[in-house]
Amino acid sequence: MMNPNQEYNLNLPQQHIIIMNAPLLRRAVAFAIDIAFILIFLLEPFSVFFKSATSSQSFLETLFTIHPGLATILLASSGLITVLYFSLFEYFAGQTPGMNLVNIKTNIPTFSKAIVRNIYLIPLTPFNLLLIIELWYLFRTKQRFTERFTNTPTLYSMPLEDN
Amino acid sequence: MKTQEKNQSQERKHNPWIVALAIIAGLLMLSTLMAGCASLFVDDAYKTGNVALINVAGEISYSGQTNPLQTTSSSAQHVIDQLKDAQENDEIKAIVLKINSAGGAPVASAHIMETVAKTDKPTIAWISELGASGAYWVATGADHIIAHDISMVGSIGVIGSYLEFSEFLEEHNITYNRQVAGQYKDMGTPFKEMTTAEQYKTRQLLDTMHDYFISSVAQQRNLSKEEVASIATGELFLGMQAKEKNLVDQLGGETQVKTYLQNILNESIDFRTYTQKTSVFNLLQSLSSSMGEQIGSSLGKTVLEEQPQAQFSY
Repeated sequence: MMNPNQEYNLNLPQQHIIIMNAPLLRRAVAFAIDIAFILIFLLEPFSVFFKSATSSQSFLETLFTIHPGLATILLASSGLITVLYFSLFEYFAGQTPGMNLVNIKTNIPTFSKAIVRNIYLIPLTPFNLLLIIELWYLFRTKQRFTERFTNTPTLYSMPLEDN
Repeated sequence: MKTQEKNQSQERKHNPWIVALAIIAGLLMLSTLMAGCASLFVDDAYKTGNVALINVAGEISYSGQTNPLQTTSSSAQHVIDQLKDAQENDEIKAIVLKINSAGGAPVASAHIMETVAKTDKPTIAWISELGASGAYWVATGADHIIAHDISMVGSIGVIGSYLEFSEFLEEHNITYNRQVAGQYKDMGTPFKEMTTAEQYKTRQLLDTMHDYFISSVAQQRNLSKEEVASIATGELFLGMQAKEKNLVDQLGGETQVKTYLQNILNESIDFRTYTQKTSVFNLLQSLSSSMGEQIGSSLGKTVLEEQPQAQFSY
């Protein structure tokens, strides 16, 4: 009969993994997938709205042909949706669908950090100016500026084979 | 780089699929709400296009009803404001009135027609399904009228019919207590029978309005008054018949409208659709009345279905 106070070594197989900053290529692919998803699905309701304003139903085509005031409304709305998309997925699931497909993730303790981390996605001044800083930091340190600022790096885990 | 041992029996706190679906559903709802709200507040000035497309649909009256869920009337004041806006906007090169209406109030219709006639930009009246009575009067103000072969056009006449309840009141012992100063003050009231003199006066009013309508159509269409009077029986004509009688200039639809405009303007045509603005209050009001109607209708149907049906036996 087994003693509940004694520890047993059951020799279960254990997996070793390496965790490192996510490679740039994986980040780019993940970002492209997420942006495509946002443009095709989440911003679709705006195409109905813009059909009445212009002869175009394409979101991007509309952006370049409509009145500047209307373009500002469009950019602000799409920016909000985009920031919420990235923030909600990263906070609740640790990764967006695009990140999931390329196996990179992050760990964000608070929702406010998730928002700050993705604020550069708002395509209006002054937030869009952050994009330049983000890209420069990313190419130099493999982390974005806001990731370092909030201490929420995007990581890639790679399994190691046991010898 | 650091290594970390991973325990394969670690449990997940949340089902990731449910989290993903919840987030996507929430964002889609937010996006729909934002797009809907944006459409309420965006002004016609934000739109692109070099040809103003102004809709005249439903009953024409001065006040109109701004029901965004089911547009059934045109506010003459809105149409006139849109015409003036198109007239003043340098980006607009021509104006198209898209008409699908059985007419309405005579003064409202005449006012729209006069405003159309005053514009110095090319104007086209495009009659889709129906352009009758006051709506046709509006169309006559345009430089060019295009209707489909089987559009319903015309009905050049005046109607003043109404329901009279004098016998109903009499049967139910209800008396109409007539108190007027001015013998024709209550002329046309449904609570009493119209006298011969009142009928004569009403007839005179209708004939005068009819004559005014005929004169206006004759002037706008460059026809003789006799020609118009001969067809101003109040009847409707198909588009092809109206073309033979010179009530319309061309048969066709959107393609013909654009081709005609391209020939005049020598540039490609991009419609800028003018819409009737709806305040948030009006939207909420119409939504609540629509919901109330649905609830009442459902309750009524339920009550009627539950009533025992009469049974006949021999």
